[in-house]
Amino acid sequence: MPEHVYRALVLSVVKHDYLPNAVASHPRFQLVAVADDPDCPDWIHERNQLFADQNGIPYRRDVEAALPDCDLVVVSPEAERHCDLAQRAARAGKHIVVDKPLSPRLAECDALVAAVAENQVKCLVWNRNFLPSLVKARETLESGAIGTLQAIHCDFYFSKDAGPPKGSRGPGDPPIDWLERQLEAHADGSDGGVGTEPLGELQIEGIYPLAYIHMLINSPVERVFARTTAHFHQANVDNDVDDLATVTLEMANGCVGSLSIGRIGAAAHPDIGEIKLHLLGSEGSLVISEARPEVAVYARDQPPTEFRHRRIADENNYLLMENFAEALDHDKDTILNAHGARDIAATVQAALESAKSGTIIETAR
Amino acid sequence: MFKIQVHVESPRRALYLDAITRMRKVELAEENADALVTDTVGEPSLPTLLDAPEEGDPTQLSDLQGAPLMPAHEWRFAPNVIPVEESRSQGQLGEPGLLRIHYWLTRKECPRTVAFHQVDLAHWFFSSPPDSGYCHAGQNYLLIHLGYPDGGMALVDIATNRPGHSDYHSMHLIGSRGAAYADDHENTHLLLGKAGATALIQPVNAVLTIQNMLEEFVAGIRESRPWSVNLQDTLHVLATLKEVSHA
Repeated sequence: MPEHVYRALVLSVVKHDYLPNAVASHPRFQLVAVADDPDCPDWIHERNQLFADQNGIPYRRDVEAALPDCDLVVVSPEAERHCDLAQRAARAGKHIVVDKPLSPRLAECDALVAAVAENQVKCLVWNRNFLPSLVKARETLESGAIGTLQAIHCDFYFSKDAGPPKGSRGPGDPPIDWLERQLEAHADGSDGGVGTEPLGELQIEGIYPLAYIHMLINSPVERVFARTTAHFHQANVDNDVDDLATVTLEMANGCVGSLSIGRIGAAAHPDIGEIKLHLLGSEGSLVISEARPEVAVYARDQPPTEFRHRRIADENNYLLMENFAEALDHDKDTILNAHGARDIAATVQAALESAKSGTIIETAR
Repeated sequence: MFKIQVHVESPRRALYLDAITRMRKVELAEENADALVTDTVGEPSLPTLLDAPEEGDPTQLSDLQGAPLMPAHEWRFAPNVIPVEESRSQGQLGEPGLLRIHYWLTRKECPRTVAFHQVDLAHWFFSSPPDSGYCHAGQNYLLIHLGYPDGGMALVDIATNRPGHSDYHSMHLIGSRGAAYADDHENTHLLLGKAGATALIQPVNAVLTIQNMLEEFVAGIRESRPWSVNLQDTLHVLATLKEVSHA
């Protein structure tokens, strides 16, 4: 008997479209429409319409009217609207795939966790835990090859520019408008922070490395000590959000961890950036380069914006949707559900407080 | 010939002797030396390179400021560190923002002792002691997290008594205009044998490190100039380690 194909409604697709594309490319899912609220700004409607046209599906400016005609929603608006749209879907009994970060506001994350539980729907928060290097790290840990995990450290740097460099604003120049900067960044897919609310790198991308740590250590973060700064980009300085951060993590099971994260500028790495994990166990250690396996290509007249190293054998998108299909088919949990993402948001919030206060902060449990 | 007397116990002594044999117009002497290498803290009668400054008593060391004494902050002279510092001091990296160090050793040693030289690198790259700090200590383990004025930050991860027979050192310094990566992971060679693939890592070259340090020691004396590192640097590191231990 052929497996059930789930019907997916895209609730807004205003930034990079990798999320709905990942859903669409899995054989167990079919995109049926795009929908959004009618009072959104024009630029949002334009992007939604473009995606709908590219995929041959209708675009409806009425979320509530579109919700009945699907099994699940794919939520990819600005981060500040993630939880609102996801909650509305949950209350309509629809399963949810939602982009990261869950929300800059912990109260919204808590509300979504409650809505998901109350309405008994499944929720997958987008992550990279099925990259081949992370799969290998998990298998190696589970095999006992390095014994009991004692410490885990993650470097997560994107060597991309994010507008003019720090210190470039001339006297009399206005501060850089966050939304305008993010709209410009759409061209190269660097608009993860798009929205009216400025977000630092820890808020925008922190969920990826924290989700690695969450999966591998399987113990909640209890306390953090953090430092943050706007070190590279004028937009971050003008909007008082970080583009470089370090966080030390104390886990409930006694493990310790750390994260260093930043959008460090295109000059700071020969490729997209350094993403690495260091794991210390009682019987051995593991050093993982998250980007590998990859193939390097160098050629005359190669465009400077072209990445020389190309990731290969990356099944993350497929495996995430496979994980979601299994959750729907067999009433299982997803690899990163609303609760896990909420805990990660709590870690980020605590880190920002710690950086501001200069003290150790307990995470909100 | 410039004569150096070495009063250091083995195996460190062997490193110094080996390094001296590689230096031009410098020789080992048992008497009538121009300079001394020692691991004993005391009022020096000759220009002295003080080995193992991390073992020194801060009060004693403080009393010796002004004496002709260069503390052996040898990691500043390590082959993998020199290009990082050069790129920083020449402005290639811009303002230093983040230093990340992992140092895992197989030998049994107090992590705090090992941390001395790595924290010294942090102070050196950020040109100041830190203004905030955090420390997590476990058995054979130390994680130090420092914040510097102007927003700089350092994460130093030290583990000792590790299983196996290979040490591991990874360091990167990220600045506002660039970054330098000195990473054993990137420098791994593969041995494919009966047991599968094994990573071969060239450890930091200890003799070259000592030689580089001795070159600075001798040059400072010959040129009648201050050395690039002094007891104040040592005291700052000891103070940082004490501060974060109590944080």
